[in-house]
Amino acid sequence: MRTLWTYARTNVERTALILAAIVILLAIFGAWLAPFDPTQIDFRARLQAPSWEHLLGTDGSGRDVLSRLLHGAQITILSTLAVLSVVVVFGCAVGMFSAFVGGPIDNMLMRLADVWLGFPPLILALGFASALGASLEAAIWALIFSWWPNYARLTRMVTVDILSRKFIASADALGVPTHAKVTRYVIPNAFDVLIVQVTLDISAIMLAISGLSFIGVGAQIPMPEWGAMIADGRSYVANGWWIVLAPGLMIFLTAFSFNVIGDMLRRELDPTSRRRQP
Amino acid sequence: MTEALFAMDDVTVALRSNGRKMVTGVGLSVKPGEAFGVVGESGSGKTLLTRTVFGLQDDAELVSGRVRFDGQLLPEQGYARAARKLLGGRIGFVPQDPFSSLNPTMRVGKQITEALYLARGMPMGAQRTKARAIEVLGEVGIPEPELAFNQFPDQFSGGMRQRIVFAIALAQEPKLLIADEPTTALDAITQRRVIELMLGRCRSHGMALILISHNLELLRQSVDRIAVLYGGQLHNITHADDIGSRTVHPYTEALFECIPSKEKTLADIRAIPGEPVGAGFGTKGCAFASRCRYAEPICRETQLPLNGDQPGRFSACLLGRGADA
Repeated sequence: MRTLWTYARTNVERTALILAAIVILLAIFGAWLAPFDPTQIDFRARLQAPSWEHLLGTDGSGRDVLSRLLHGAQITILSTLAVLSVVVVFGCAVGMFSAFVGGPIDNMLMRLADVWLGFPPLILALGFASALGASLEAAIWALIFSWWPNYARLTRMVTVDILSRKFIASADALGVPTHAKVTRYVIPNAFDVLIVQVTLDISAIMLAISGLSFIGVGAQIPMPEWGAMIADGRSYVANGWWIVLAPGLMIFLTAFSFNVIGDMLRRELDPTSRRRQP
Repeated sequence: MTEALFAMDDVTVALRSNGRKMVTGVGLSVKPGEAFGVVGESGSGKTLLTRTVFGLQDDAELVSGRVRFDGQLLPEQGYARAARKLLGGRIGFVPQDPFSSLNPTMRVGKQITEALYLARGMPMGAQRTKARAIEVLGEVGIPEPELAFNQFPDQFSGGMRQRIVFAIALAQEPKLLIADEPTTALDAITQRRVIELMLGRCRSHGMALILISHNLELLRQSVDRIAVLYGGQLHNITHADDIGSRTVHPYTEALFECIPSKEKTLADIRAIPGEPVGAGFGTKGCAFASRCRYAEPICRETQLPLNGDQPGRFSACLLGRGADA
């Protein structure tokens, strides 16, 4: 945590770190802070502007926007993490296997990954939605399905590079077995490159989930997912601007801060990107 | 005469991809506790030969020859696997470049304890392993070994890193240590110290050493016997003291004449005419014939004689120069 803070060179980066920390805290504790039930419909209190009772107002069905936002943080962040963790573990495993095995199997796996990347995630998500029924789970599966080749390719590239370095030859001369080479030689040396990609992908996946929810193939109303909240609120923009503004702003700020952090990590950790002075 | 610890006989190495023979008919043997040098110009095949013989080169293979270590003949089938099994325990291998030979993400101490563990095949207790690792760091001359144990490789200078590489290899207490140009990246004084360190280990532990270098003078001053490779052929095995004092193979002689020293005037330093021939040039006859001042037509045609795996002197010169007189 402290190292992360020392990487920050500009106020934008410091702000991004603080925002990201707040979002993560909200995802963990937000549900307890919420003053109302996020799905409680109250038609007497519909479309109320922000007030002391409803700090961010209420939506078209009288649900408290702040409570929905706080619960939504958890849903959005958790589903992003779900996608990321599966994609990173699976993609990295495929990539490392490919690099270690080499030869025609390596070639085959990588061409498969190339072809796979050709599927647009949106179309896949629509397909999943029609097969599984539109739900947050379908959106998560669709993203997992379309995202893993990125990691397979990246990890394969990094692993091939690491395996060609001299200390791997030394490890061979010492008799280090393959499993130890993976855990103690390849993963630690690939970590810097991967962490940058993961951070950048947090915002990309979050945007994708919200986007899918917005067009209706992801989270369904009344689930307080941020993208779904915007979709729900867009018909009230004229007389309830706060309904779309709050989740929109949250998506924007979260995506923004993780993007800035990713770029910052890339600058600090990735030896292949030139060091830019701010 | 003591039994040779390591011996190769008529070893030929070829590339896997096109079958081109890069190193042909090399025979040599190393006694326990002996410091043995292998010298050759860049591209003479010395690194390829050793890496292949110890199963570390994936793109080349042994196509003929026998290799024996510690009384055991290595099998032809699955040769590379069998050779690699000897590494990390009975044979230690020190690679060329100390700057990139250490895992940058692993603490120095951890890399030594890993080597210890791999050599013994069983844990000997965290405390004892650590104590032993610190001991080895001290043995190779790292100041404050307790501190060094928890540091990362990038916190050391080149000379210190090479010592750490040695510490890792020596921790496994090998009977034979192969050092491939271990000092090329180091300055002259550090070179000397690192070589002394290895020779000291030979004397104190009876470890055999194969030192591979392009620097004849460095080898002449440090090892007992030197094998001279040129163009993928073994040309000469000679006692280090003989170089410059008695007749040796014409190539060894020519190499020695290139070395500047106090006693020589500028006119005495003679470069070898012509361009060096790389390994795998693929004609019969002596690879050095094109540049040799003694060369006769027979040199270009006749197959070079082979050395058995007998310890001692050997000269492959077709004119008999440098053969035992």
